[in-house]
Amino acid sequence: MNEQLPPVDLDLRAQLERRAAGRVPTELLGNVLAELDSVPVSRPIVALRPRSEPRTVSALVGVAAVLAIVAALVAVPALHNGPSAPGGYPVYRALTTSELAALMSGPALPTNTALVANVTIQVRNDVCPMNRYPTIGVIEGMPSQVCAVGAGVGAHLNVGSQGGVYAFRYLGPGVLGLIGNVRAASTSTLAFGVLADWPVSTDAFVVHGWLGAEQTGAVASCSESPGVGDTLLPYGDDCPYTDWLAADRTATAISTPAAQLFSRRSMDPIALYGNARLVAAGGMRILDGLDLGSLAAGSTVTPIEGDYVVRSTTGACPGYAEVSSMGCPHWLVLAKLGAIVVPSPTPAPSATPRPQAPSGYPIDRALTTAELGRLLDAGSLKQYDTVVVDAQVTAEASGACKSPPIFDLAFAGFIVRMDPQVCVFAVPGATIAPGHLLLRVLAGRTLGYMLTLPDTSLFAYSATDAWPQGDFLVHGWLGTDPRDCGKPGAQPTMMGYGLFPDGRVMCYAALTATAFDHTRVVSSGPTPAGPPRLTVGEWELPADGQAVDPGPLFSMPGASPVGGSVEGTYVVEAGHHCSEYGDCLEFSVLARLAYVALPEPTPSPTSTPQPPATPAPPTPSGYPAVPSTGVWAPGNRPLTVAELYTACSADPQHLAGRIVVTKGPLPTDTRCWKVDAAVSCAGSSLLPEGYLVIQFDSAGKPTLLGQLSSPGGRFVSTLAQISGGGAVPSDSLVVVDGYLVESVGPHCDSSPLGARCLPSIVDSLPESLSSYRLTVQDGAYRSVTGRASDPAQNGPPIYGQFLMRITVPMVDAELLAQINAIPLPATTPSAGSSATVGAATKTTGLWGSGDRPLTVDELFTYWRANHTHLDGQVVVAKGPFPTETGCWAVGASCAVGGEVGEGYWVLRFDAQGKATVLGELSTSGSAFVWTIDAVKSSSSLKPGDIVAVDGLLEYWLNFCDIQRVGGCSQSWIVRPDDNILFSIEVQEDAYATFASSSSLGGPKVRGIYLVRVGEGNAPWTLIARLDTTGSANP
Amino acid sequence: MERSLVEKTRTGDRAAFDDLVRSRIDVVYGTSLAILGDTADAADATQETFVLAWRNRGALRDPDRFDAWLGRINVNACRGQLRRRGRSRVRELRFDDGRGRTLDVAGGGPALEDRTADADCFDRAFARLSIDERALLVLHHLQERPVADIAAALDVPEGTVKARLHRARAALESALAKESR
Repeated sequence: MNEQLPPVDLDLRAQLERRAAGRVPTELLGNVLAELDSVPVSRPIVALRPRSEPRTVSALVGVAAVLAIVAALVAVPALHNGPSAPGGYPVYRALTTSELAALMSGPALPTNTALVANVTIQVRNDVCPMNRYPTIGVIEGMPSQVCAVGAGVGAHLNVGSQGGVYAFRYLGPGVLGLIGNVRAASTSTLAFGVLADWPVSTDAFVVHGWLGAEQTGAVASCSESPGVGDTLLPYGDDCPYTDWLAADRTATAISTPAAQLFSRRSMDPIALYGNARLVAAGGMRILDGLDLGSLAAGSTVTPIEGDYVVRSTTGACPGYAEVSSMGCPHWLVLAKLGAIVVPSPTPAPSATPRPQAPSGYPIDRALTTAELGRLLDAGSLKQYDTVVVDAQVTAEASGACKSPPIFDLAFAGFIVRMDPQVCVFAVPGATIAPGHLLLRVLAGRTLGYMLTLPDTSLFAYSATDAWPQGDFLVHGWLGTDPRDCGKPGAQPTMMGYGLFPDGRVMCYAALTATAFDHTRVVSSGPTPAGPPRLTVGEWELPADGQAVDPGPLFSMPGASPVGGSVEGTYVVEAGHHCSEYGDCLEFSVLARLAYVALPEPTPSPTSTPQPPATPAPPTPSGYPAVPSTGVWAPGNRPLTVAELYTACSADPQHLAGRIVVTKGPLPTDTRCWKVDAAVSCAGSSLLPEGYLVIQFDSAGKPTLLGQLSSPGGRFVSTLAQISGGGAVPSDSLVVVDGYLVESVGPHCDSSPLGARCLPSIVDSLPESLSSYRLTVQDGAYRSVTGRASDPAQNGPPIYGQFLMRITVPMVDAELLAQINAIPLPATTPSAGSSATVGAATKTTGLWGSGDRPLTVDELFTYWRANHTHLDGQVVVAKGPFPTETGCWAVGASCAVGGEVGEGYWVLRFDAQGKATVLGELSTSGSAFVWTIDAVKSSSSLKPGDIVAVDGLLEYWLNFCDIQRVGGCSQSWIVRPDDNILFSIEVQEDAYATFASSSSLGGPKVRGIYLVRVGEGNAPWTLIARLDTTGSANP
Repeated sequence: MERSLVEKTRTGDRAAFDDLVRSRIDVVYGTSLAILGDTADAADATQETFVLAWRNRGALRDPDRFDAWLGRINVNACRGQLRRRGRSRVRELRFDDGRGRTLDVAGGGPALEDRTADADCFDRAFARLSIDERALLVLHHLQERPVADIAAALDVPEGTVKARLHRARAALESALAKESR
């Protein structure tokens, strides 16, 4: 049982058990294992990053894979953009029926020209006699008869009409030879890349790549001239040549002399080798006249770029004269798509002009609440009109809202920011999520909530788009069969709530992209045992149509029966599941959006000029001009004690009234700040460790307001970061980055019946319904800006960092101050001076100038001078030395404390000045700093070793899976030239910790990083970013 | 034993993966069937789950998280299966309203049992949910998976699982209300 989650609902569980009941089909396991067998065997591409483990024989392939990645990164954009053959042949997709029709109507193509087209073949054999191939059928949609002929493949086509993507060869006027079905790489791309997983099936597919070949055997070794074979099924053997398809002009792993070390018998005929695969293209090369240049051994091959039709097949095993009893799978290249010119399709007759929506109505987006208000004010919307509005409903007391008399609905709230009030009613228990609300006018300013449309980039689909699940909009023509829909009793009576009638279907209809005339075939007859049902036969939909159930629309109160074909934007719901009688997904038309003219907005009155603001008091020099009471250090961090002392000393008012964020421990007596905090100052108490939020009184005495929370290790958080799962608890002090607005945005109900408008911190401007916000106290804006409030006009938003005390997580907070960096006077660093401060944070490790470990003397000197005595700091120092810091000034002969021996040690100090040894620093020969290359190729490093590595700390997604299957670490240390192939994976939050940023793709931080070698494939641990003690001083 | 099978799978040991398939096929099929509600779809989704798992075996970082990782693939496979589900051009229309009452058409017919009607009503309501919502309900109410596994299966932060579960439940209630009218 999940303690954090609600208890298991036993009724729901019973339903789900019912759904899940049933034995695993007996053949399923076998099918799964068989399908696994068809997955290509080897994928060197999986190993993307060279590791430090010893290289194997496949290292050559691994390097080739690396090169292939680089090549693919260059090649992919070309593939994605769809290269065009001369004349505009769309090689990235199949020809459409109309394009093929135009092609076949034009001049004859060269014989055997290959092409791919998306067509429907009407299977019949009573046409096109006397061809050398049996007739498969006739291609539909051609201006004159075009036969599809062939053998073997045609047998796979069922009786009737078969639509699909097919590869053909042009055999002559009116005759296309069918090579086979073509499987597209994706819904948007026809051709596979060479590096992609090629399908192993009976379908052919298209590959974009470079066909190359070279002689790898003696001519005399070939038993006979291979020849072409059948035009539609050419031979593959190209003896004595080895053919390949590569992602670019070279196939390093196959064609280099090193690759030739592999005998052909050892090469997997279907695997990917580097950037290329072996293919069998002998017959195709002759058929398509591909001259690859001189193919003598050692000569230069000129690979030919193109789109090739390929299919997996079984044939002779490589290197064997005889076909083994099992044969070997290999890739057979059937054709190279021809460079043809596709004529422009004949323009379709102009369709009936689309009626324009009345001017001003946005048919491609939701109405705003302001527009809804104008429509309601003007009386433009009548009862039962349906609109989509971008709005939010607040659940408030019903106030003046009365239930509409017709429908049994419950009060749901008001639409925010609408004045006069707009009441919303809904089905009892409905939850109204903000967003695109589908609302129906019930009476006056009372609307009924139907549903919230999902937020997509597309407002309305067309009938030819792939429709999603759920509820969505479709713009098109709704056509109905009047013989069906006009029958008495055809329209179901309304049942239940007026917003959602049952919509039982008695009427056949379709949504199309254009107006249409339709025909249909209807039959009725005996039904199987069970409830009686009417079977509707084949509905001959127009090509751009989608069958829908218009019943719900018809049964909507006020909806007039739709006859003929009516243009509009329709609300469609998917999901009725024909479970018992076959899988299907029915689409129901719930409503048609009302089209009305939007009244022009009323011009806003001219605003009166603001009186000049009271001049702000002159600020002391060195202080920010913004009258902010909150201060901390530059770089959005707490001040150190020394910095606080410096700032306090420099301020004539000694920070009186200021709220300061500083790092503790902190003596409450300011006279003690000049002395090491670790040394108790007589007469002073000590504020605790941590990040302290203190406020100074007029006498300069600090009062502790609390400890600053640092969620996720951050000093500054965004509202998103402290919302949801990252919400900080009540009473937390946080610094939030955002905009202080005097009056809230769309969430504010300006009606007297609604919630008060209070200032807020919002995460972005302009505010939207999806903005994060925290409401703050009345007067907060005035206190920060010093501006007198003006009820007629809000002040401008103030961007900055704001110190807040959370009162209700994710909802309310008390704004304490806007916080800014306090300029700190520069100090001259002096060795051993107590004024010397360390600006390093706990993420910074320290070592000596010149990127080397500190000597003991240097370590002691720095430790002594640092007011925090390096509390929490990581340091690299040269042994031997005592671990007790009290002995450092004495030397190794100090009797107190332990000792570390010779070597270079990585230490971390605690608040008491005690050093803990984290480990020994591993060196790269005589060098203290490793390169990424050296780390990766080292055979001496082992898990747990600590190294200092020079590189770029970056934050991005791994290659491991675009969909992040299995999870991907996101922090990396990359070689300084930013070659991501040479990188070290570190712990996921390393970038956020050591670069003080969590932005994906944020700035790359160059540095020397102290990392601990990880176990196996586990990420390494980034311990610190090293800095020299000299540069750590301001 | 299981961990070693997963580790061997990652290195490309097909026999080890086959053992994992045998040990997991019941759970994967059951999950798919509960989500999709159809045996053929569930079988297809199950098959795709294991094929994808085998192909992406190199992306599994932590062998101890194999089941959560497989669950993620399973949910994605169910999602893909639902998208691929075609629409029949021949529609057989039931002329009963799900409450055992037939509408006024020739022939009439016997009323449905309430239990069947409830199950059918539930299935229609469940079909209105998104795959993620269905998966949430199945993984928690049926399989009682830990929060971490549910979060991994849906690729959401663990801290949001509870809220998402609540919303999924609310969506189901709303769908049931629509279907039961």
